[in-house]
Amino acid sequence: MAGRRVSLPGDREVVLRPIGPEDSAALQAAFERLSPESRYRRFFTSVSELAEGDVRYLTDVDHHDHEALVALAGDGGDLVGVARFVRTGPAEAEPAIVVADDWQGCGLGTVLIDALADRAREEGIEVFRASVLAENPEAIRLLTRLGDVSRRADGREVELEIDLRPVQEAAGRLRSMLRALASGTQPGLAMLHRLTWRAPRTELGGPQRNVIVAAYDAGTPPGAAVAAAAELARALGAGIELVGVRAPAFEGGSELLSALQATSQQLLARGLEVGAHLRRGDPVASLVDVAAEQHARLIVVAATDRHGPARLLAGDEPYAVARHAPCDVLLVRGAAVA
Amino acid sequence: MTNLAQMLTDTVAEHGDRTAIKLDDLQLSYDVLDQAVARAAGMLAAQGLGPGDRVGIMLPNVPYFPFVFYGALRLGAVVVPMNPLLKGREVAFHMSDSGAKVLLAWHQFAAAAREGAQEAGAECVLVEPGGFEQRLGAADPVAEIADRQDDHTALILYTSGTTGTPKGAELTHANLRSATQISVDLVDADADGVSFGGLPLFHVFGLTSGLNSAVRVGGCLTLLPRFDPAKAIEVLQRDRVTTFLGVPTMYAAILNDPARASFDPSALELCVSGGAAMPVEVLRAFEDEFGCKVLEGYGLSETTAIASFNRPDRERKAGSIGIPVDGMEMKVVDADGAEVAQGEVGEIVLRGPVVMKGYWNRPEATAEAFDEGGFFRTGDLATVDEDGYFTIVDRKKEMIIRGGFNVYPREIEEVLYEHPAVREAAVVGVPHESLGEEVAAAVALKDDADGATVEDLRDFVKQRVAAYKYPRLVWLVDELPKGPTGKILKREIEPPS
Repeated sequence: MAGRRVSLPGDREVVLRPIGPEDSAALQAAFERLSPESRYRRFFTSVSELAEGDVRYLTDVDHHDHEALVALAGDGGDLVGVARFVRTGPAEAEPAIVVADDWQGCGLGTVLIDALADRAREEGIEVFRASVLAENPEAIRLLTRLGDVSRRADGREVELEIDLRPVQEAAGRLRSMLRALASGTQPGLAMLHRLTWRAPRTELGGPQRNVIVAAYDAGTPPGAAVAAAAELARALGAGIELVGVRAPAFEGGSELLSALQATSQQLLARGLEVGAHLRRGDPVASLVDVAAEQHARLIVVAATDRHGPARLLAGDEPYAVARHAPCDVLLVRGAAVA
Repeated sequence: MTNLAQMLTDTVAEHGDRTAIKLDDLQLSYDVLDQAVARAAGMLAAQGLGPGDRVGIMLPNVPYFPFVFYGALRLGAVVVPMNPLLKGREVAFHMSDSGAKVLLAWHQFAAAAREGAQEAGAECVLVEPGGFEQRLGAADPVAEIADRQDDHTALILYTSGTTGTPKGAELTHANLRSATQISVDLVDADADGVSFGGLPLFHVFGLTSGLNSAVRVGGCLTLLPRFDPAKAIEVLQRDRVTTFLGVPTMYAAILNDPARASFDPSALELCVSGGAAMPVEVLRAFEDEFGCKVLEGYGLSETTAIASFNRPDRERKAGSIGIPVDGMEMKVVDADGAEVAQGEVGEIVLRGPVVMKGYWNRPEATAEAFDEGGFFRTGDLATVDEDGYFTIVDRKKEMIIRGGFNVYPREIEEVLYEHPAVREAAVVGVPHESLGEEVAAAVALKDDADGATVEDLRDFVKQRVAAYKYPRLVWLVDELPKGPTGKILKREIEPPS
């Protein structure tokens, strides 16, 4: 079966391909080379041998409800890793992964789990439900990077539920828009005008309205997200909804409110249709909620806004917005482009 | 000044003529204890032992234990206490992992001790009544206390956690001193007190709350080398014990022994329980019967046995492990290390003066054991109530507590896997009336198993591990219950009815 070559750090190379019954001997040999510790982490006990039936079960898979990918060492062809999932519900599967002891820590686990997640999505799997030993932080890290995760501690095991659903594929035009905006050039804005639809917001069909939601960072001048959203709104003839969020424990929201109102006034003065929302609680949830309520076509967030005294979104939060948003999300640089 | 052994010298100066150690008819004053310790130190020095050197001590609760324990500390040596029931290969592991060159072992367990010491290339000195006194008599007494810093290791205690092989928790002189002081303050111990010495001294709970606390205040510790409820009642009565220290199974055994009817508990002031959760009905029954409060606490080898306790002067909540001891920061956190809301389950993490320095020669395991804030991850899952009382609900680490002794399934499974007929093995705890939990194993044999029986398997393990660890119950299965990808489902393993 044809495989895909993958380079790993340290001049190592593996070939990735789906498992087949012809891999029985290689799987058996790989199992025998595994240390008791690795066996324990894979099977939750240090199984001493795989029975014939076990090997058949693990290699003779239907590639739909049960898929396994093997990694073969680029040089000798030894089997050095296996990642598999077994369907446990219509859109749910249990993953398992094992990497040969002398191949651990070189990124092979990441390569395998990513490839497995891709195969799972192709087979209609939306959720991985994995039991991992609580004392196996490497496995927890591997799985956690696949998507939104909820975990439940259960004695020596941790049950992870990983949402594999892809982030809504950004349309080509949005990618172009992103590039244009990132470069901050006039041709970029011009291209944006050409590439994007410019329907007045009242004439919009479909579920989305011509509204842009912008994350509001307190401070003067307004944050990068608001500046970029204002530019876009003008170019697209869209309305703009500003969302300011105060921390749950933070009592005095009046300063934020007046700053929000001041910015709204400025934008109104520039001929834009503006709404302002002051929310309390989680910034990610607030942005997503307003976007849903307003049927917005786009959310604009800034990566790291050094203008505002308080950053609305930090670290991975813009990414979290993208995962939950009902529409596309534009992530702009931390400096105002206007 | 910071050497823990200084504690004994200070007490000798003040309470020299008071009784330190009792064992039935034998009574040793602090003066006599000091002399014996001085000679034990001399004997060990003659063996070549000096500051930082490790020495194995494999003794039951006999007066020789404090002799060699404080003798070794006086030289600045590091003590590696071992259960006298350990088998040869286990002894060898403790000795070679710690790099101990000398093993002091009880004569009744000479075979395993000699075998283990030999395998580790260490010298084995047998401790035998009569013979050992002669050895001590021939040694030059050492009064001088070796200079030790607070963070110098005093004790290496082996504990398994989730790994198949045990790791040595390094406790420093400061750790031991803090734990001793906490223990003394907790029960308000003084020179008039008599403590029950039935908890093994090779275990950190007995060592801290029993021996070190008594020595700290000049009190008396009355030893019981082998726990038996009728004998325990006799000792409590005869020596007018004021503080009873025990694990839950001891409480239950005393409560169920006919001898309790004639027991006059008037001297008993306070009881302390640890090592495992005490069934609430046992706790209530014991308190009713003997009119004496039982305080439950919680700690690990890694925290010098002490972390939280119910207090004599505050509400005692049955089933709870109490509130953190003085100086201990104790939190319940989620997987990301954030503190959970009140009433929610999370892992207990600890920081404070009794928390170990690290695992001996295992920097990676040490790094994993502590979070970014320097808190030790216990692996115990608990909740905190509105009054700040902690209650253990589960464990992340796999552990069976059999009569107060920790048995790590992983360690026993690894031994089972050494048997040529074993394909799959899972060691689990099953409920047991008096022990709390009993060790049991489900085993699937290889196709070519050649007629191995459950008796063969049980004996195979019994020969290789200490008696309290081997599975009393072994049964055969075609295969262990497994999930879709082949991970075994331990929760679904049930012994045949």
